[in-house]
Amino acid sequence: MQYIIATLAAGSLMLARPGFVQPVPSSVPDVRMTCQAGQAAARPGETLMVLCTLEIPEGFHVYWKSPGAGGTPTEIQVEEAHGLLIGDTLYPRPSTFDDPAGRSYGYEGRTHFLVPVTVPEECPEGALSITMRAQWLACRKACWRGEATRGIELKVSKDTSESPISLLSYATRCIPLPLADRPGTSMSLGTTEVVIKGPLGEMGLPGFVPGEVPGVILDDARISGDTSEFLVRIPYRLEPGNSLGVKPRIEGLLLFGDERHDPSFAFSMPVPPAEQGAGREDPVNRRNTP
Amino acid sequence: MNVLNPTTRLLAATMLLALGMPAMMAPAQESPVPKKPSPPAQEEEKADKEEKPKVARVGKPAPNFALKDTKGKAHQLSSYAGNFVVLEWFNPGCPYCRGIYDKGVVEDIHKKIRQVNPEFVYLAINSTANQPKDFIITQSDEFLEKQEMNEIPVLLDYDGTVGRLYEARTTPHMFVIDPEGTLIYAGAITDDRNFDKDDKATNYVINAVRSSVSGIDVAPGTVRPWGCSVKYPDGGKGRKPRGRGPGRKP
Repeated sequence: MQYIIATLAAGSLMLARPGFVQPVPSSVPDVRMTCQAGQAAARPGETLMVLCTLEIPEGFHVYWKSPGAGGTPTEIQVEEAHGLLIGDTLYPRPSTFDDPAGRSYGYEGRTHFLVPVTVPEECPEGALSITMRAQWLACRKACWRGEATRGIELKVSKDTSESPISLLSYATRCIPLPLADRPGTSMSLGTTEVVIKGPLGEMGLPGFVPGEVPGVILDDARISGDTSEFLVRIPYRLEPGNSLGVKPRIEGLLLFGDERHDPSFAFSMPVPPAEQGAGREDPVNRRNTP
Repeated sequence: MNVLNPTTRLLAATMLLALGMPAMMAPAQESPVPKKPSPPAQEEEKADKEEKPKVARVGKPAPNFALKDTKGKAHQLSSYAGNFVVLEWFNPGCPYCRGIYDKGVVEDIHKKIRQVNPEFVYLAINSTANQPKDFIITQSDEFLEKQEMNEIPVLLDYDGTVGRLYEARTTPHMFVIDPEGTLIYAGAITDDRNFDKDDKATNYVINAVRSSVSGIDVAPGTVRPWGCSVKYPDGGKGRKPRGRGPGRKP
């Protein structure tokens, strides 16, 4: 008994020491991936969703496609498509994480990603196999890279009328809708600022999550509102020399409420050439040698 | 009915005392009303603010710093003027950081920059504070020893001061300083975060040095870095997950 208490006392003294650092987890987090077709069968010409789920162990998080201050995006891709037409991965609404490195965006717990897959009109009937591949960085005090591949079977039939699996409905609710779908909401692009305004709902003011586009710098959004309307002002500037050939766009999310399935809206607005000239600031790409 | 003997009671008391120590040792809370500094103090503060660079910016002089490496040797950035200096934010506990060594990316940088500037300086800066300092030193040295690259000094920035000065976000996060002391590149080491592009990957660090030597614009001058977030000290606050951005009610 005395031995146990003495050990506990020594341990407590260590923990109490200023500057003592808790050890980081040493084992690889067991992030599990499952994939399934959103419906068991599809007709030629039909678009269906492939749903890939990451089960992220408690305390860990992985990152959104624009991870913020640190981290690396989670990637979900179709590795072997067998002639299917593959759309861009749909990322669910991310959560915000504040840590000493800054603000980042990502996911905890069970997270569903959707990949639109279109069966070509000329696709013969029968079974198709698709291989999905995911890569992620899972962090909790320390980080681990992870990847997995999963095969799924998809039946192609002209006569099928399969209903989507029940999980698809929840997964779809978590995907941000286009901002244009929010009634009464408008977005305008000035030379140095994007302004979004719209009616205030029950969930109050929105939060803003910036998307990352090379050569486009978004400063902190100013969010305000009165009893009936919200206003989001996002200052931006362009650095064409850092665009990596990508056309400038202002991208981001507006989030209402706190839950993953609460309403969220995505926007991606190209910066027209006229604004590119006016808003352009490119101090980094001056000639560096005398 | 006391089941503990005096020794046990003493040990238990020590334990309780220890658990209460952090609160007792914490600095006294500051008054919510900031004290108005006296006029000379205001002057000093102003001068101090004018002299110190806020944060590193591409196209501007790289802020000077002084740090000791894992062997105890002091390094001052300004002493390397006249040569290219490459700073790598480094954490051998991060898989991306290990990856750039395992895949020969750092070796390639050394080889190619030496061709244009044989005396160039490569400094790895470790701002990791999620492990005891002794562990960070041993881990850094052992890693580079294993990679046979122990000529790279690992500068210890345990309190994160230099990391924050340069706004280092990830490991790796690269900074290139030209011989005149101007920061000419800040960002990702390559465009190959999955390490699957082999020879087709673009190495932004090598590109920046080559562009600078040729007298052409360094473009891109900034690329979003990838990797693990820098594990800065958090002052015990830890990570805070939040559902969304600022304020709820208008």
